[in-house]
Order: sequence, then structure tokens, then C-alpha cells
Amino acid sequence: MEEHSVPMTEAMYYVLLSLLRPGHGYAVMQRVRERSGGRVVMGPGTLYGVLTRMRQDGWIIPDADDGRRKVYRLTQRGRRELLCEYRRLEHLVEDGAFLKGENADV
Amino acid sequence: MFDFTFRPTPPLWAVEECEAYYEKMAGKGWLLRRRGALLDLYRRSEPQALRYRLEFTPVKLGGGAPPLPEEQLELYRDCGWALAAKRGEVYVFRAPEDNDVPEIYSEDGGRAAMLAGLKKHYRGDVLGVAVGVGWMLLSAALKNVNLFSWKSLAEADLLLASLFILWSLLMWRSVFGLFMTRRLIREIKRYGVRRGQSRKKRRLVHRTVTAVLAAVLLLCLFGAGAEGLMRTSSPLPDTVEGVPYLLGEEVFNAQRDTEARQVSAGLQTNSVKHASTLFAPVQYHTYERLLTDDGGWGFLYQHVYVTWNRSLAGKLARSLAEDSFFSSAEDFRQVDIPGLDLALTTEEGLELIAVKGDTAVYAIYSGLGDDASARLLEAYADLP
Repeated sequence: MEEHSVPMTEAMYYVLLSLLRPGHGYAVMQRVRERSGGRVVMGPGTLYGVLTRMRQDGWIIPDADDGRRKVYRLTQRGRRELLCEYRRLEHLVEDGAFLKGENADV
Repeated sequence: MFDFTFRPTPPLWAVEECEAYYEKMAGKGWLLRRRGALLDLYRRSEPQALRYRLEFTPVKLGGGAPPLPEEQLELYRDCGWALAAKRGEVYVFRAPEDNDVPEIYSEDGGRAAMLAGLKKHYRGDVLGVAVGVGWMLLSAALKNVNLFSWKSLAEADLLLASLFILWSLLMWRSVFGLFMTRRLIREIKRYGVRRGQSRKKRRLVHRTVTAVLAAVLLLCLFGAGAEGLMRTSSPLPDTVEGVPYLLGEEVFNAQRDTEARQVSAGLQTNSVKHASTLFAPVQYHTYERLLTDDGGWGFLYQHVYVTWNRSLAGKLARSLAEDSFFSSAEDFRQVDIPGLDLALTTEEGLELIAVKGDTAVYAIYSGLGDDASARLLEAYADLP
């Protein structure tokens, strides 16, 4: 399995998922909330920090300027990182699959 | 009634308390309009339940603080965070309390990273004050002035002391702010953002030390004003009584040369300057030129310091010897003069130092005869 260049936080994972379709910051926030069923609510400061870091790392690039807002899209590298993270999470879930049905209090 | 009010600006290092204070004021119907260095401006409105959050941009060394990118501000606006006030690298945002506007930082790490901007702000302040103090010490060293000698203390006016206290005040606030911000960042990283935490003790320490330093600063400034009023310069009188300096005219039975002449300090006439400082509240600095029998002329400079007590006068005398104009401390030798607590002269006979009670005198003279030292010292001993 390919290794991540940096450890990925929940916020990073959801941002990458949301940017499978190009979008601006506010749209990303709404998509994250929708995709996580309201479980993950990103703050604008957190999102801006994540977007800046990802842009510096070459995971996303500005695609267009929607007037006042920048529209971002995933790069090949960003897509690769997202897939790696997905596979890593998949492995984690598979490894703990025997817990399914166990008492949640344990 | 006024529709605006001013309140002291809450310190930045207590970020959460600062935010809570703005929320409390909004609840009372006062909305923050401008954040100042010392005072914040509030405008009257309806009481509102608002959330306030502070944001800092990292200060760049020598380049000030770059503004928050427009894209970031737009994102905040889209989410419901309006810019309430801005000052330098400090941005204050507000949002209604009872709706689903998300927190600006949904992860503690993001807030801790943002606070690094505040840490840089305080670090820049510490550096600025340190550079100021360093520059002053360096310039004093280059001029061969020992700032920490008794002579410097006796001659330093309170304006200089005010400058040092002002620097101490700025340094205290910056160092305290830096220390508290580092602590806050560590706490957020370890335990997360904890709102409503009481920092009363720390605030009390901060306020007490700041208040004491500010009070001392004010006193010094008042004192400096008084010193300035007491500093006078006048022609040397023909006779004196009850003052701790001598008239060379009387000591040497010589005629005073009244013409203004060019000397190293500029065009000078016979004069006496009166000054007052904290360590030497009464000071006289005289210049007198005398005509000699052989048709030439001599001069006498006197620096007379009336200090608070005998001990201080003794310390000042040793410091005067170390900082003397023509000689070093080793060149002075002690002589016994009845009536004087301490009498020092040099081989060349150009300088002398005398101490009597709480008064120290440093005199420079030339062209007044071979026995000038002895005559001057005996005259000082005879002074009341």
C-alpha cells in the first residue's frame, strides 16, 4: 500500500472527498456537512487552513475565480492521497470487523 | 445620553476572556466598533446575544502584519461571521449566538496555529523593546558613559528614568503576554479550547504590576517636569552666602575676567547652573574665569552635588574620580584636610574632589597657582 506523505485528519479527508467535484470554500463546507450527515461541521478558519496547506502541498489547485471566491479542484496527487487514505481506513475497518455485533459498551 | 462609550482594551493574551467581555457588552447593548491600543469604542444598540472571536495574522519581522486574505474574509462572511473591528494584526469577528453559524475553528489545532500569530506579535514587541534598550546602552558605551555609576545616577534627570520605566512597562507587558500565549497554546493542544476558565489570579498579577509601573512612570514624569522648572542658569554672583560652592574671586583674591571667551564647550561667560535630580536634589555647576597677576587667566569649574546623606556623597565621590575628565581613579591621592570627610587631588593639580557631609564637589581648575588645590580644599572645609 502506498504511504501518505502526511498524516490525514478527518477534515482533510472530507475536504478531498468534497473536491472530487470542483468547488469554492463555502460549497466545500456544505458538501462536508451533507456527506457526513451533519456529523462533521467545519469552521471557516479550519477549512481555510486545510485548503491553504493542501494548495501548498500540491493536492489541490485553484481552478477558476468565481467572482469573490476561488474554485478549487483536486490534482492527480490529491486524488492519489485520497485513495490511499480510503484504502487505509478500509483496512482499519476490516481489521476490526470481528467487533461487529459486540456490545458497544465493552 | 451618549450613543457611544469607551472601555479599556482587554489584553490579547486572555483571548477567551476578551471574547467573553465583548459578548457581555453586546448583551448590555454595546457593540464593539473599534479596537484601540488602550481603549475600545462601543456603539449603543439593542442588547444582542452575539459570539465574538479574535483572529491574528502572523507579524512579519520588520514588515508589519499582512492583512487576512480577501478569500478568507469572504469565507467567514459566507458562514455568518462579520468583521466587527480590526487593529493591526488583530481581527474581531462576530456572529449571532442562537443560530447554526459554525465555530471559526472546528479543530483545536487550527485555533492553536492561529494563536501563533499572537505569539509572534508579543515576540516582536519583546524584540523591539530589547533593541531600544540595547541601542541606548550601546550608544552610552560608545560615548564612554557608564550608565550605572553613581555619577550618572546623580546627573540623570527623571526624564531618562521615565524612559527606562516606560521600557520596563512595555517589556513587562510583552513578556507576560508572550508567556501567557505560549501557555494558552500548550493548553489548547493538550486539553482543547476551554471557555469560561477563570484567569483571575493571572489578570490580577498583570494589572497590579502594570499599575505600579504606570504609577511610577507618572511620578517620574511629574518629577521630570519639576526638575525642568528648577533647572536654571544665571550669571555668577559677586558675593555668595549659604551656598555650597565657592567664588574663585574670593578664594584667590583675583579679578574676574568678565569677557565671553571661546572655550571647548563654546562661548562661555561666568555662570552658575542650578539643577536637581532624584539622587542629588541640589546641584550647582559653576564656571568662573579669573585674571592672574602675570596678565594671563585661569579658570575654575565646580560641580557640586548635595545628596541625601553622607554615604551617598562618599559613593558619588569615588564615582566622580572614576569618571573624571583628565585622570583615572588611580591618579587621585587622598589628603587630610581638617573639616572635610574626604579630599582627593591629582599630581597634575588640575582636578580635586571633596566631600563634606552630604555634599560632594568635583572641581577642575588651571592657571590659579601651584597651591590652588590646597587653597580650594581648605575653602571647601570652611564652607558651612
